[in-house]
Amino acid sequence: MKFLEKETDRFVLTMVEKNIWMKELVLTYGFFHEENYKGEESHQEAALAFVTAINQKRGHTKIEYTDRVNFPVNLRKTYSINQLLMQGFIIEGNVFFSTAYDSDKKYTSDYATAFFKLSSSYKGEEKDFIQLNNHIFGNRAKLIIYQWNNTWSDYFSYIKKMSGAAYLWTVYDEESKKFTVLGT
Amino acid sequence: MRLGEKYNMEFLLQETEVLSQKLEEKALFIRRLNLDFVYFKEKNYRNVESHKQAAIEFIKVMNKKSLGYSCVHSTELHCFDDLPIFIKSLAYPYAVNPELMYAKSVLPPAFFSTKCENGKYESSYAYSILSQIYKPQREEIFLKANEYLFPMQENLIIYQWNNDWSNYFSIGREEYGAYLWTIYERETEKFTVIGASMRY
Repeated sequence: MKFLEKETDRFVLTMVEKNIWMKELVLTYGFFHEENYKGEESHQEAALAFVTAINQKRGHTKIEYTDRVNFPVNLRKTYSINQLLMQGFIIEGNVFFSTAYDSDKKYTSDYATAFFKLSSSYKGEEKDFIQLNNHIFGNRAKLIIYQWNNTWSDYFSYIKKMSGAAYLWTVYDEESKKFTVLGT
Repeated sequence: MRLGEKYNMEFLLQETEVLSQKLEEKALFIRRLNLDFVYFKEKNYRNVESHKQAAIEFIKVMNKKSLGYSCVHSTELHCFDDLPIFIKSLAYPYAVNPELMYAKSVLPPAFFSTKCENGKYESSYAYSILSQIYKPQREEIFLKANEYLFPMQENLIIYQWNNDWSNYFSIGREEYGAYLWTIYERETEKFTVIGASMRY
């Protein structure tokens, strides 16, 4: 699996060039190339590669693998991961990309919730969500989407404390052989 | 062609890296300065064109510092204020739109002047270092440091650049000021680029 670092680093600028509102967006997007896709195993690998890449951008070269089960908020030190706690499940595309509300006026899609609701200062609108997704997910029919639980690393701890929720998705596009990883 | 690759302006890595250590040894600017000094060698001086290239190369060096690899993203974006200033606490690349760049020439006496009337400095360089809200340095130290940094002040060709062509300036524009000066010394064929994006 290859980290597409330049594409990842330019992503926010590319979206702003397309007039998509990115300020105060809680989600981070990372891109990876995977030639030998092996189902869930590759999705797990992508999730780990994403947290590793983020950790590197925070100035740490090495992730700490641990058997701890508690991850207090960690702003500066290297992130830890307990792989045994990782659980992923498949999400259907139409559920993932939906902008529908349920009866409580909450988004039915966790992705839409993360996009709009995790930061109260995000000013983007539905069109920003739709355009951004159209840009990165060209062929929806070829996507395999996994959502991961948020208990296996302190990568999630800060946002969980601040907003009560934290998410990570790994999305594989079989056509372009690319992983898009989205995390809060 | 990628930005700045047509002419061979050389980034003086070692000189740039030892500067803050040297200033500290000489007891000049001991407190956190928050200005970025970068040196380049430019044998093929092309007046304001070279200054513009030095300004862009400076952003490249700032990216290398935070990302670990040298790059500069060029963009046609006109409003850099739409870009997030931070993405969480992550290093985030600076982009430039060279079309938006303009500069004015500053004569050395005006650049180094410490004159200040009603709290307004004649020189924005002096302001960025001496101003009260922003971690002030003593005037005496400022003068000494300039003697050390620029032994031949009268030979300098100085341009001050606008600050809305790159998100390098975003935090300073929001907080205590954002500046960029490109300073060329003909005899040594060296550029000193000073950038400031001043935050608390």
